[in-house]
Amino acid sequence: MKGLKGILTVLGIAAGTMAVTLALLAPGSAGAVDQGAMRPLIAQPTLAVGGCTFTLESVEPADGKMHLRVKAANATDKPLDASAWLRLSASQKPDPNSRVMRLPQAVWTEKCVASLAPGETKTFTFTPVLEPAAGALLTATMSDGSQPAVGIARGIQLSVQRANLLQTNQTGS
Amino acid sequence: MRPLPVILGVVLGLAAAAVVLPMFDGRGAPQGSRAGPVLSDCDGPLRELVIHYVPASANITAEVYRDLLRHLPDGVTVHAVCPDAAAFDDLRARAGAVRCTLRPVVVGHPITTWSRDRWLALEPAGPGEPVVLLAPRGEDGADAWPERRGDERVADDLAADLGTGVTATRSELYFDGGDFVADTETVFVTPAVLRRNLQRTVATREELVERLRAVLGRRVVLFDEAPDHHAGMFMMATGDRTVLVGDPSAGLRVLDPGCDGAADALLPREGADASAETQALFDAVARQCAEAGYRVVRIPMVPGRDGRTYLTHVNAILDRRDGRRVVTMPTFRGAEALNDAAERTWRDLGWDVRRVDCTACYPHFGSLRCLVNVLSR
Repeated sequence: MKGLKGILTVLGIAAGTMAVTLALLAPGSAGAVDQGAMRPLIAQPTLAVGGCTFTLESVEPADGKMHLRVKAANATDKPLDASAWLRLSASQKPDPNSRVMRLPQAVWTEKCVASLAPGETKTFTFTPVLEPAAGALLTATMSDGSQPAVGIARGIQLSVQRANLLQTNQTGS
Repeated sequence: MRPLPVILGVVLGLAAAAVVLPMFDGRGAPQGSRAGPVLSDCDGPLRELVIHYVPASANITAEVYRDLLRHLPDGVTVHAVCPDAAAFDDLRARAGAVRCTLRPVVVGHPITTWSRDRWLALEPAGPGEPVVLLAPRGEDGADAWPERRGDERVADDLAADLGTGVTATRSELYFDGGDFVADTETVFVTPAVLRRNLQRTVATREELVERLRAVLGRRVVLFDEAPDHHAGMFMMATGDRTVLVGDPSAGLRVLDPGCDGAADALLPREGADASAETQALFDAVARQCAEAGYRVVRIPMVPGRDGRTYLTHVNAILDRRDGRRVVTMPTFRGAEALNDAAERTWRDLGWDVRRVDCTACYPHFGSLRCLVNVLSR
């Protein structure tokens, strides 16, 4: 009886130790993945060019124009000049039988040039006037040409909404 | 309490946790279910395929499915995802007599006809474990495209219909299933996956590669340069560390030897793409595959200048059973010389060729493999 009690004690402590260990170390272990369990999207893409970090803070339609806001930050202790290319691309709405979207075409490009003092941050706003076809899909990206372009991190469905809004605004103005 | 039982219990508990912990998924792996590596495109006998059938698109799919289903041997099950029961009845009537098992998966919502891009099949983690269907985080254009919104649900639909043998999970990454081509060693990934995820779901290219490696369970070759299309449109793994990669200049020499526009007639949207820039992109794929240690065999192919319409014979379904290699290969009416040249290339690699006429579907930017997904081998 005493031996059985000892075994049960050992097993009980083992079970408790295992439970605590798993609770502490198992990464997101329970249940199926759902959207709520996912890590959030990166809302504001950044591009590092030299010591300057460009952040695409927002791309929004208003007053019949697109408004792009870009922040450039110099985190170094030296003055610097840096630039990044901004680009808006539009894809025509595909027919329902299509497997994929049509290839996007550039509809606007602009070079964002920043001259920054040590530790300085500047914000730039661009307002290109576009006339996309109704339902066209817009995507904003920035690149320095030597590394992959990074886009506004919201995807095509929001771009559709933006395009539709833009179309509405143009119609209304 | 005496110290010995406590120490013994703690040691036992830690040892048990060490055994169990690896069964929990790390970063990037599908959570809630264990999974093996992504299914190879070229190894093992086909067991279960998945197609989508929408009567409104029968003009582009019915002929393809009829030919495919008649080629498939018994022992293969084809799950036909249909918006309603009437759609399945229509498909069965059009298919006629077949040896494979054709069964409906009625989903009750709109879908497109393109099955390949909706999910990746991950092999069971072990005996008795389910196939895991890994769906992307979302579909491009889903808000503006009701059928594409419905496509987002198909992996869950299949898991619900097929029971305990299949589970579905959603990746944190954006991709199309067609962005990947795999064998038992490597998964080749298009630059589009980087474009769709960089500074959106991942901070760096390296992070993306690591997460793909973790979730797909194979070495990842993420192309830096490639044609802007799905991987299965321009290359295919054929086993034995060999890949087929398209060659536009060879394709044009076959299809349009007199340079009199014969190829343009088959690519009416914008004509054939004979540009040096496009050739360089195909060559870049060949180079990157060779650098990854693969034998590269070029196959004649003709892409369109629209960047989407391809006359491609690598968009195929591969089946290895009973010591035989059989490829079901798309063909295109009016491109007989190209069809024959492609068939010779496959045969030279030891594959028996079954033809499926994809004339009706290729103008819609996809071909046979784009319509057919493989659930298990």
